[in-house]
Formats: sequence, C-alpha cells, structure tokens
Amino acid sequence: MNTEFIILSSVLNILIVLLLSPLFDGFTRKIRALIQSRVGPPLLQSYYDLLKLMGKEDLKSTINPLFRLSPYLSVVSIGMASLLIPITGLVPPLNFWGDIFLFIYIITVVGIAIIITASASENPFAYIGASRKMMLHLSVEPILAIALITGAINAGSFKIGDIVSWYYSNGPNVSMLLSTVCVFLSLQALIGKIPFDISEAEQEIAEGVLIELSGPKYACVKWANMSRQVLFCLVFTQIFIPWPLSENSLINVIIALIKVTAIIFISTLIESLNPRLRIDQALKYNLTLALFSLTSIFLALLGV
Amino acid sequence: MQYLYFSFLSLIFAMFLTFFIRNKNFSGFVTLIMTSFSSLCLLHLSLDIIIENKVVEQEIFSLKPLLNSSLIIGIDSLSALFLLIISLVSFCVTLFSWKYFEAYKTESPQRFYPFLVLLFISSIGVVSVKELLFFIVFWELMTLSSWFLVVFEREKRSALKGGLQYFITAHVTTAFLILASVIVYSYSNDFSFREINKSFLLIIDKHPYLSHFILFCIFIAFVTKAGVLPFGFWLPNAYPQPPSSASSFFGGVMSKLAVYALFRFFSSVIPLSYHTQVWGFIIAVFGVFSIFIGTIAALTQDEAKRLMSFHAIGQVGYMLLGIGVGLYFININPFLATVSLVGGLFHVFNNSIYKSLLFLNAGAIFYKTGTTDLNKVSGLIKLMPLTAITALVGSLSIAGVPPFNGFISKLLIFESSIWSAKQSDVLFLIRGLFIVFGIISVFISAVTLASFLKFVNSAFMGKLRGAIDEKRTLPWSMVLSQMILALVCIITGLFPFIPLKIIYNATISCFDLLPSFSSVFIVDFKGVGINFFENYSQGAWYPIFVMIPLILLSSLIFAFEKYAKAPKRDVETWYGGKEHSPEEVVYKGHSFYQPFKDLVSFRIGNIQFKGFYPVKIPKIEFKIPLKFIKILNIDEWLYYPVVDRITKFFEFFGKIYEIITEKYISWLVFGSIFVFVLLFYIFGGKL
Repeated sequence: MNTEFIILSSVLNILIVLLLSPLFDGFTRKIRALIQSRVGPPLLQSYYDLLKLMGKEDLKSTINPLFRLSPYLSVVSIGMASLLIPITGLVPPLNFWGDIFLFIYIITVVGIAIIITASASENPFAYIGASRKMMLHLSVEPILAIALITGAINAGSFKIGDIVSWYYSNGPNVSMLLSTVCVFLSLQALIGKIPFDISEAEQEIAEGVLIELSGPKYACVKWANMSRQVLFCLVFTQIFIPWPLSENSLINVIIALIKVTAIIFISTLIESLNPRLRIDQALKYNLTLALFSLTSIFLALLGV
Repeated sequence: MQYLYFSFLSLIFAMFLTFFIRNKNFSGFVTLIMTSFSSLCLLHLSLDIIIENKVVEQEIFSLKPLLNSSLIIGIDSLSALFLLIISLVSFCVTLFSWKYFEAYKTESPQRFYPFLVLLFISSIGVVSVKELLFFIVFWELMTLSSWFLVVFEREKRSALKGGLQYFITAHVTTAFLILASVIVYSYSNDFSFREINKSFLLIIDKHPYLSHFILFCIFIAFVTKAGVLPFGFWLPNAYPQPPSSASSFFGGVMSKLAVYALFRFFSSVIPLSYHTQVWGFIIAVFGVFSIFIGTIAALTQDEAKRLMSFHAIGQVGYMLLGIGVGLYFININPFLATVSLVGGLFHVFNNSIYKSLLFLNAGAIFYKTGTTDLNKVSGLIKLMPLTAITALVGSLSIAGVPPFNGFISKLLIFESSIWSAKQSDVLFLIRGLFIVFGIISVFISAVTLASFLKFVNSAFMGKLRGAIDEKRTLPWSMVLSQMILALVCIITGLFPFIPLKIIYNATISCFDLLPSFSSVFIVDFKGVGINFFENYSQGAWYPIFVMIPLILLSSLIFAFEKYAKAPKRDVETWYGGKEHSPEEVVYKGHSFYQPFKDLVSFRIGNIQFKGFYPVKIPKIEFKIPLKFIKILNIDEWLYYPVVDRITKFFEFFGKIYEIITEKYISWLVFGSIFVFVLLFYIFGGKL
C-alpha cells in the first residue's frame, strides 16, 4: 500500500461521504414524495438548502463557546469515520491493529458532538433529545461492536481491511451472515431515521436536539445527519457485503455507490411506511437484538 | 537514591509543621512548597530510573536479632512509574487545596494537612519497599491517614458512617494480609520479597491448598482496598466524604496502589506457576463484575462525587481485567500476556490522571456553589469556562474517546481479551467468557461516556442556576492544577508512544520472560502484527496525523461560513412558542436516561436495586439459639445466684446488730466468753 493510494482513497472517501450525501438525501426525499403521491423537490434541493442556510441569520441563545464549536465537530468526525471504510478497494486508507475499536469510538464522537451542541443550547427540549440520543447510542453500539468482533474472530485480525479481505475471499459463513442480518436490523437506529428518530421527533419534542440551531450551525448539523446516513449505509455495504470487487479503484467506487443507493432505497421504504417507536420500545428492541447477536460470536468461535 | 530521602524528609517536616499552624492559607502554602520540592525529587528519581531502566536497592536498617526483617528500599521501573504518578498527582492536589480550603469555614486545617501529607508519605513507602513487614506497616499507615481524612467533617452523619465502614472493612482485610504474611514467614523465615519468592515454590509444591489460601488472603486484601465489587461496597460511601482534593488523591492514587500491590505480589513475590493462571482468571472475573455493576450503578447517581466514586470502582475493573488476562496467558502465550499487562498498567497510569482531574473539577463546583448535587447546579461554564473544558477533557478521556489518553489503554485491554479466541489450547468455555468480557467492557465504555456526559451537561451546560457565591472567583492555583492534569491527558493521548515505552519497561522489570518491545509493538510476532507505530503506509496509529486533515476540514467550513457572512443576533431560549421562566422548564440531572435507568432497576424481596446496585445494603442478621446465649452469660446463672445467697446470709447476721441493744451486749458477753474458751483450749490451759 503506497502513499498515493492512501491520499487518493482518503480524498475519495471524504468526497463520497461528505459531498455526495446531500444528493442521496435528495434521492430519499424524491422517493418519499413518490410514495406519498407528491411530485417532490428536485434531486439537488438539499444542496440548495445547505448553501442557503450557511448565509442565514445565526441566532445565539447562549454565550457558551461549545455551542459554537461542536457543530463543526459533528461534520468533521464523520469525515474521520469515513477514512476507516474500504471504498476504493479491500483496505481503508486509515488502518492499524485495532481500528475496529477506533471506528466504534468515532461513531461515538459523532453522537457526542450533537449531544454537546444540544445541551449547550440551554433548551429543555434539546436536553430531552440529547438524553434520548445517548440512550439510543448505548443500545445500538453493542450490535455493531459484536458484528465487527465476529468478523475479527473469523479473520484473526483487528483490522477492518483484513476482515473485509477475509470475508471477500472466504465467502459468507453462518456467523458472519448472522451478524450481517443483525447489523441490517439495526441500520435504521444507526442512521437515526424512523422508526428510530426519537431524538429528533418533530411532533413530540420539536426536533429535539436541533431546536435552537439556526443558520450555519443548523447547516452543519443537518449536513452531518445526511452524511451519517451515507456513512452507515457504506459500513453495511462495504464491510458486510463486500462483493463484487474489481482491480480498478474507480470502478469499485461506482459499485459502492450503486450498492449504497439500493440500501438507501430500502431504508427510505422502511422510513416512510413505519411509525415512530417510543424510546423504551426502541431500547428493548436494540438490547434484545444485541443479546441475540452474541450467538454469532459463539458460532465464530466454533469456526462456522 | 538520596532524592527519595530528601522527599521523605521534606514531607515529614511539612507534616510536623502543619500540626502547629492554624492559619489555613499559610498551612496550605507550607504544604505546597514542601510537596512541590518532594515532587521534584521524586520526578527526578523516577525519570532517572525509567530512562536507564535500572534497579536501585538499599537496606536502611535491620531488625535481625528480633526478626528476619529489614527495611529494604528498592526501586525498579514499576515503582518508578508509580512514583511518577504520585509526584504529579500530589503536586496538583496540594496546589488545588491551598485555596480550596477556604470553602470550609469552621474546620481547622490542623485536621487536614498533616494527614494528607502522611498519606503521601505512606503511599511513597508502599511503592518503594521490597519487604513484606514494612509493606504492611506503610499499608496500614495509608489506611489510617486516609481514614482521618474521610472523617474530616465530624459533624456529618454520612462522613461518620462512611468512615466506620471504611475503617472496619480495611482492617478486616489487613488482618487477612497479616495472616498470609505470618503463614509465609513460617516457611520462608524471612520477610523480604526475594526470599519469599524462593520459598513459595516449596509451599506450592508441598501444600497446594495452603498456597491457594495464601493467595486468597492477598487477593482479598488488595481487592477490597481497590474497591472491586462486591468487596468495595464501602467505597461509594467513603470517597465522597473528604474535601475534594483528598478524594482526588484517593481516586487517583490510593485505589491504584492496591492494583500496584496486586501486580507486584503476583509478579515478583509469587513465582509463576499454575496458580498464577487460576488466580488470573479469578481476577479477570471480579474485574468484569465490577466494571459492569459499578459503571451502570454510576449512571443512576445524581451526586457528582458519588458518581465518580462508582466510576473508580468501574475503572479499577478495567485494570484488573487487563492484569487478569495477562496472568492467565503468561505461560500459554507471552505475546498476548504482554499486550494485556501493558494495557492494564497503562490504564492505571491514565486513570490516575483523569480520575484526579475529575475529582478536582467536582471540588471546583463545590467551591463555587457549596454543593456537588447535579440536580441543584447548572450552567457553570459561564463562570468557570476552563474548569468546564478540563471536565470535558477528563470525561472524554475516561470514556476512552480518541485522541485522549484512555483510548490506547482500553484498546489494548479489549484486544487482548478478545484475542484469546485464537488460543486453541484453552477451554472453549473460557475463551467464550473472555470474549464476552471484552464485549462487556466495550459496551461499558459507552455507558461511562453517557454518565460523564450527564455530569458535564447538567453541571456546566444549561441555564446558570444554583446558590452561586458571586464574590468568590476561582483562584488561579485551582485552575492551574486542573489545567496541568488535562494537558497530561491530551499529550499522552496524542503521543502514546512515550508512555507505552515507559509502561512496557515497568512490565518487563517484573516478568523477564516476555518478548521484547519491538517484537510486540513494532514488528510482527509469530504472524500477528500489532504494529501501532510502524510507518504510516503499513497501518499505524498516529493521532497527530489524523488530526491534521480534520482541522483542515473544519477550518474550511469555518472559512465558508465567514465568506457567507451570516448575520448574528442574540435571542432568548425558545420554548416552543410559550412563555416560561427558566426555573419552570429546567431539565435536572436526575432526568437523564430515565428509561434506561428503569430498564436496569428492579426489586428482589425487600431490596430495591438501582442499576444492579442495591440502594440500601441489606443488613446481615445472625440468629443464635437462645440457649447458647444463656450459656455464654455466666453472670446470669452462676455469679448472681451465688452472690445473692451470700449477701442474704450476711444480711441475716447483720440484723443481729440492729434490733436491740441488750441482745447486742449479751452477744458481746457470750462472744468474749467463747473467744476466751477457744484461746484457753488452743494453748492448753497455759495462759
């Protein structure tokens, strides 16, 4: 692995996750409109929204300095998490022995940034949203961790690159299939869409964590939310469904984009056809799923 | 070596001096000067030993005619690591308590500083002696001085209760330690660690059960002090009681010294054998138990210092998990054992820094508002922004978020416990258990983050609230001590290579069979590459390199925002269109994570469990049969009846005197005749 490849794939990863995410968001809006028999906004509408919000009036409800800084952190941490996903090939640009734990922590940082933004804004609705977001994260993180650890046991390495290479060449076995299914079942909670958008419930707590945000800050957090969708769909497609793959990295990128589009389509279908869960229901769902997914670890230990 | 004596002397001098000073400010200043001198000496000594990786040993005096015991001071890299921690934390603690003591209006400093300094002395003693008898002496001195600090506020009921629990528990377990040392002495006939190490092989060989009992005694003594559940039930009641600077030394150093003692005993006092493996597994099990229960119980706490005490329990669990896994695998797979032991010790180092930092933050809150109850304070970032930032740094470090310092140590612990999956010669069940331990610790580090975000969010964010003393600004010394610790957190997080090397040297000084540093952390070892720090293209963890693109990215967004020229306006908080005063709609610390707390709270019988931890520790009641008590009560069936009879008898005779004078006279006459006849009889009429 040479330096040019690292730089190329880092740039490509960040571009896909951060710059293409409004496009995918426009795609979901279009699909949702079609399901609800509307025409819907144009595909590039989310770009227009972000650009416009950047120049809108910035309302400050507090003098807390963290309120100003943490929206940036939310975007930037997603950019960092994107460096750990193999898009251009089998190996991600940032890798070392134990990067699965780094990945788990970085998706935590994504949550922390939004939680701190919310609680710094001094609004009680935002506090409720922050508390719910942390609880959701608590319950959904073990599922992803267990799935990645299953891969680590199978592949005999703590590198995401090695796990993907092993999975690509050895094909699915029972334990990896089981963990793939578990990650798919928790995908909506990872993305934070209905039925798991409890922390940003519009009707209930008035967008919760986003209530006091406006102008550039709102643009940053909104952008982070869009990018999070692409990020987790990429995690699912690139780590748990690594096929097909070619030698050329650009073709790999196109394949990844097609796969992500398919997953986002399914996720949007789920989103628009389901009601929102209550927080205690969501917690029970996720923790049960986490306990269930422990079986995949034991299957991996048995070598199947 | 003389640096150690200098630091000892200056601390002892400070202890005697502060006994006589009544002025709070002056007393604190004297302690600060003396402690910073001793810290400098210790820093020099420990850096010297760490860099040259040598062992210094010296016998000071001997009790040879009485006992085979002598005060041996020996400092190797492991001791030097702990001396480094003590020097850093003790300096910050005294710097903090200098001005902090003004928050206590009526209490005299004569009951605080001498014992704090005695605690420093005894903890330096614990890490530097190489001899069981004097180890116990210093250990006991540490317990006593910390007990005086726990009961510092004598008027508070909770302080007395916590102090009593601490005193009894600590002494019962010290009795176990003394028992173990006596048994060992009867075999080795010498108290020095080296002689014990030699003769312990004999005990293991001849009396395997006895040696298990000795290990049990040692284990229970240290684990109770470290606060591992279920033996650590005293800890959440005792740690919040003293002034925050003392709590910070408790949480940062004292409970870690128990981990040091455990490590020292299982590495250099007790030889490696099958026993080590068994007890390694037991240590890991107890570690995970306290990780899980301690941290989830911390989520339900609303009082800042009590919350941190529960985290002290949970974090000690991580260290024990690392050390336990290391001891289990030390004969099977030295590579894995190295990773695990280094992870455990690295976590000790990191934890002592951020745990003391967090206790100091709680102290700053107390100084400003007079309470540490998270339901009563909020919005303090506006009054003390630096404290809030350091609290955030400490919280992210304790949760192990990269690039702060908890990350690498937790990473090593997770990896080693999950890596046991690949050891095919270990039982399947045990491998599965170790992996479950790893997953629990990954999950719990998110719970840690949740509970510390609760601390930061409810104390520092939100509307300014609480009984705030406006005149009392936070003095620079208190801010500086927090800043130092926070900086150490960030620097060790950004450059993990240097502390990793120090800690590897500390580990290797106890176990000399482990693979070399470069083969573990730089190049591959038997096909497994942990290589953190090889060149970047091969895959490595350089936090500083990762930060650069991120900073670039955020400055790009910032530049765009500047270019867009968004106007700014200050507004009131928006309550969904209604008018509310901030007091009506406040979101208290208690309300955080309520559904999750409900999920982990339940009731068994009479005992209410909150986060798997009983709210009231159930009383243990013995029922002894009544007859047994009666037999024990000798007064009741022997003494009182006999005495009653005798007194009645004499009372009967006493009546004779009182009734009539004539009778008394006649008694006199008859008596004298009787005596006369008796004398006459005895001497045979020769009068």
